[in-house]
Amino acid sequence: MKSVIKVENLVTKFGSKVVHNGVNLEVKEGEIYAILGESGSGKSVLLREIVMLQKPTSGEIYIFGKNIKDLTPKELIELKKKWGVLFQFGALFTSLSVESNIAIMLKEYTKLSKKSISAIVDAKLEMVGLSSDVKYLYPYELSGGMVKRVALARTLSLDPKLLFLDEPTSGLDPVSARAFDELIISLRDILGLTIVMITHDLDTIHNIVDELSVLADKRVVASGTLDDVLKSKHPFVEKFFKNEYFYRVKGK
Amino acid sequence: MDSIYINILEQNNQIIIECKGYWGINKLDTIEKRLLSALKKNSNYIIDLRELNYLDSNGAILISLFEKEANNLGSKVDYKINNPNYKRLIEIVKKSSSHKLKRKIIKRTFLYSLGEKSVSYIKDIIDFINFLGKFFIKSLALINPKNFRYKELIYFIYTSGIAAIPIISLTSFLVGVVIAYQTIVQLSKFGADIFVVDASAISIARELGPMITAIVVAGRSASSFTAEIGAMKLTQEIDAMETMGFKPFYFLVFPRVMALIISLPILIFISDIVGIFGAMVATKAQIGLSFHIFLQRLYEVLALKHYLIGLFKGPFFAIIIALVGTYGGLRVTYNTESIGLETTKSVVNAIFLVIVCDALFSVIFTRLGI
Repeated sequence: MKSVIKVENLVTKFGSKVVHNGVNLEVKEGEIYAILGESGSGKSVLLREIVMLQKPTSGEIYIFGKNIKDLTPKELIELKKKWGVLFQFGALFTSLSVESNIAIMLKEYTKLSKKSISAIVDAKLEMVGLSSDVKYLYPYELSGGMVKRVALARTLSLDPKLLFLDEPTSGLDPVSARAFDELIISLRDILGLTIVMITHDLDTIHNIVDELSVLADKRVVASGTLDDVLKSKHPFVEKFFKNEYFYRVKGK
Repeated sequence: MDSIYINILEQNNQIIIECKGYWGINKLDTIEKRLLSALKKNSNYIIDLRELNYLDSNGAILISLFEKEANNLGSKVDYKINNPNYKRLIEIVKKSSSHKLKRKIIKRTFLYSLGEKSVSYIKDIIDFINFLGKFFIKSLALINPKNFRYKELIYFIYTSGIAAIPIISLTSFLVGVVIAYQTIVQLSKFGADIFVVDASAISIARELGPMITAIVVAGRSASSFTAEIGAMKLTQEIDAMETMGFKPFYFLVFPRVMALIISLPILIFISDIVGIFGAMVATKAQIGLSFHIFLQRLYEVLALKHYLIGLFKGPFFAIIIALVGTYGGLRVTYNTESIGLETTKSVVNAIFLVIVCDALFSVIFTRLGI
């Protein structure tokens, strides 16, 4: 399978503080990939570097086979239309209604009629499990879970090929979290998405993730399928997976 | 060239829509136009997706929208699909609720918006007066010095007072130069050049020094107070303080008000000195009056009361600026736009109220004969 994201020898330093020291990882097409690690291990920084919000100190990042350093401004825009980023707290535009939030990329990048855009907004809301009644609401009128769903609907508005999710199930109740997992799986199956997520949710990791990388000690200490990772003897892996809760999840 | 993506044929009373190629987001607008142009009453459509290489959910939504519109016109739509994913996709997007609920739009006549605006202004004024009352009642608690935040006070004296010295000095210097220069031009017509000292020194000490200082501080600090407190409100920091049992008033409002009350008179003092120095420099350049003579004349004409009146206004301006600024911050609602709105409002209101206050003082002092 083609590789969608490839990170090679990534080094990140903030002043004298080293966050990443030689991180390598590869995400293949159609995969649900998780990045795992303790707080402060630089997961979010890694994600920010991949989506070009931050520059690594050194190292190469390839997306869809191209080094992101070599992209022309035009290619950059095309790339950004092909990916969607879901931020941990939604990052909805607070001054826009739900409808305008979801429609903003369609209005910016296409010349579709108002009718079609409104149909797309309705359908995307339906896809994330919300009724179209919410579309006239403003972000502050939404609950935390709804913000997340609306943000996902906005992320999906252009049908991206690559989806980045920063802790998608954090702050959701367990039932919604599992529904979210199912949604992610069906998106992958139907639309052929590649999904990269930062998550701590053991259920998510067990149920839907194909491959994962564990960040610790400034590098990737274990990667591959869940079974591969479980073979690792790294203290963080031991602590995180080899506990009662995980066995309970696994036993199900 | 659209036929790469969509081809419309008519055969035995049926309209066949052949969808082909790669229906990516960049092509959807042309596809949409072609699709909608094929809409007719009472026809039979067959949408053929067998040659389609790529369909995403937006493409599927367009197709289902077409079907909905066609059904509304009394036409029938059938599909020919061999890719099960396309079928599933179209079924999923079709589920989206078709009921349209429109938000009620109130028609705004002139009278309506006039009334709405007036009510909101009156509410604003009442709110501000409430805030003022709360401020004075709560300040009674400051009799107990434990309630006072000295660290914050020092911090705000630094950011709102000391950091403002350079810009206030520069502005005052330039205003001093301009005042002296313009006065000389008029006075020399009567050969009364020396009175430039009286005119510039008294006007600077009494009015201009305090005003320039207040306006600069209103621009710098009223805006930053509103933005700081507003951002805290947005991130729920103020809610967090409330739940911890801290009073936002003691943490946020008092240190700022006190800091301005302390620093504004000092800034006015500096502004007076630099402004008069500016006048001195302009006088020397214009009519060659030496600093020595200027200062001698200054000593004769600038009574202490003029200078004290200027300083006396400082704390009042300070209270106005700080209260308007903090009040604006606490009024910020849930969106980022309102921070900008409230910041603009507090700067404008602070400057306006400072000028009103100054005018009042001017009348009062003149009546009292000071």
